[in-house]
Amino acid sequence: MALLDVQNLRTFFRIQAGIVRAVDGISFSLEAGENLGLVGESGCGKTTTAKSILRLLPSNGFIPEGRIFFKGVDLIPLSKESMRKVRWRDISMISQSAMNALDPVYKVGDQIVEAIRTHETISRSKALTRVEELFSLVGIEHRRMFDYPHQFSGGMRQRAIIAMSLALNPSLILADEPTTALDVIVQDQILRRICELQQKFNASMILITHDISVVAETCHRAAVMYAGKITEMGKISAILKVPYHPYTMGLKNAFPSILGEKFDLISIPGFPASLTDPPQGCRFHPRCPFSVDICRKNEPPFIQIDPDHFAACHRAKEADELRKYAAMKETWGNGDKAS
Amino acid sequence: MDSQREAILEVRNLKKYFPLTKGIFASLFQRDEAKYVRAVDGVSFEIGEGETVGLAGESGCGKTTTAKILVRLYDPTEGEIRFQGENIAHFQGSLLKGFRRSAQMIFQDPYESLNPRYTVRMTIEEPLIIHQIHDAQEREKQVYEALHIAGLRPPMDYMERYPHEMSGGQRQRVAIARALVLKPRFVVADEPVSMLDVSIRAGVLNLLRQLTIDMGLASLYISHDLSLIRYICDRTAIMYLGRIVEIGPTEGIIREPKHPYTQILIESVPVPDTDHRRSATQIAGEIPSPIDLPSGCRFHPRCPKVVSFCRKDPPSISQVGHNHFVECHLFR
Repeated sequence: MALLDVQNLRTFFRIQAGIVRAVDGISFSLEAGENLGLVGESGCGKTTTAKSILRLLPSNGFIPEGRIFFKGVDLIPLSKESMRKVRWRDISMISQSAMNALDPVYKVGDQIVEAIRTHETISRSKALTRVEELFSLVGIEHRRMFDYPHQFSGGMRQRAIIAMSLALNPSLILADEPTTALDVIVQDQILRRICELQQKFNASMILITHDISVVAETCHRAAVMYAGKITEMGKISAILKVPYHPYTMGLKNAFPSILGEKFDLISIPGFPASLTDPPQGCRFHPRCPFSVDICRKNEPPFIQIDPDHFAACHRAKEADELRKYAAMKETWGNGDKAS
Repeated sequence: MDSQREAILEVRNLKKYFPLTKGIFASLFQRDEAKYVRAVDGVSFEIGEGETVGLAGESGCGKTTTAKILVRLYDPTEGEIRFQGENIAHFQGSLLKGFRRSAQMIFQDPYESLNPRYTVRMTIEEPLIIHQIHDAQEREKQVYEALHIAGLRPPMDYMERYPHEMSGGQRQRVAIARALVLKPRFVVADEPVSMLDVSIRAGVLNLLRQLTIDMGLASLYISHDLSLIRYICDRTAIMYLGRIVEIGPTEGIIREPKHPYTQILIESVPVPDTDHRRSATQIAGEIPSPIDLPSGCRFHPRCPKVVSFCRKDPPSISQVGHNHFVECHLFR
């Protein structure tokens, strides 16, 4: 049985102008000890997916459809009280602005002790010993336990948050852009640390990011999201080497690398689809250089390419041909359209 | 800089120290030396016509402070800034205003750098008004041209829009149009694409590079992202704690970094390739405070290749390749 099995999840937000279909029918699953990268640009629904799993949506958000099985139990119908027990102990989250998630008027160690003692009945001194262990795991000196958050650097605060997310030994960690605000050297240290620890505790992780290269270095599989849908999913090595969805091909062209020969970056023309009034058919069709009639009319099904590689594209069977054109600048009609 | 290019901007031994203010009691009863944050501490480089120079380093290394001094948003504590042959480091009043007309800055966040209550036309027209171009028709023509070269075409479609009616990429193009409307010679772009989505970054970067070449600008591109710097900069300078530790042609720096810090910095950049295995060199500690700087080489407490004299003497500059210089004892 998969650790996490998300089936046809939809998460919408009610706003004045109508309904924002932030996540619109996505399915994926995750085995124990596996890392999944959720990649996409701002507003594609990746953070909303994580918040739906934890049921931490704002009051105007709702889940009209879908099931989220965690260890075989559907989380969506759970009561608030039972959900509170799942959070942190079974599923923890390292959020985007985690650096600022610490309360400035409490000592860092005390905040972690509080998190532990909310979920477990153990003495303060035992909890403190646990915090000490956690601090050595993430590489912070013990004596810093009684410092306030402002005495920590950004990297250390992020480490403290990681320590906190591991405090109750969760089986699933949702890491939402855990290193975006940090410098490359610190990012590298923290990503290595997260992976080491996650392997040590045999936890699974969903890493949410816009940075494909971070996923390439930390995850086994990846799901690429566009406008609330998963467009391509599979092993990260396969997705990067032989993408089947034109959006993935475009992302690859636009993404710089410090390795290998320098090539010209090509941007994808146009801008992300509206989520209140998404385009008919395939949501990527207005920006896709390969769109044909059927793309404008029908939503593409998930086409299986390999046992573990799927792409939601009507023309996935022609991908070998399309990939050649996708590597050319002219295909994307760059230059005139400002995006 | 390539010898065939004419230097538009030459910076010599630039320094910026920010005084640390003490509390009233401390200043009354303690007689110790005044302390300074040495944000920029002796930086020299030059930028030629049509050249883009990258300035890279971790947060707090002084790259943004350097940029702000160069467009004279800060006054330098010491050093020379020669712009087209003239030292503008201490210009005031109308001289300064004249210089600012030819030196422009593009900021990181186009969601904050544009006035939300100004239309695109007003935003781009404002610098023209400040610099006394009184003819309304002339101004309109120049706004139109600026939008056109920034890739917002046809310009008429964008003139009356407000920032909230545009995407991040379009907003950053408006910021570029505003910077270029006065036909500057020197442009600083401070992390101009870090707030933009991957799929539209390339367009803005290609635009900046092309405009630098076409208009013969001297461009300074500030970023912590070396993989982006690689696509836009002819030469790159690596900063650490207020000093340039290595400077040279970008491909040379990326493929054959010499300074141990540059090597670690490049090694830390994640790559979109699952076959690539990075070496396990790790760096100890975090960037020290620019108040109490380490003795000798500033990088020595974290350097994996440290030798005894690194702790004592500050390193001098050595040439290690064509136009490639490094400040490290290992290359004496």
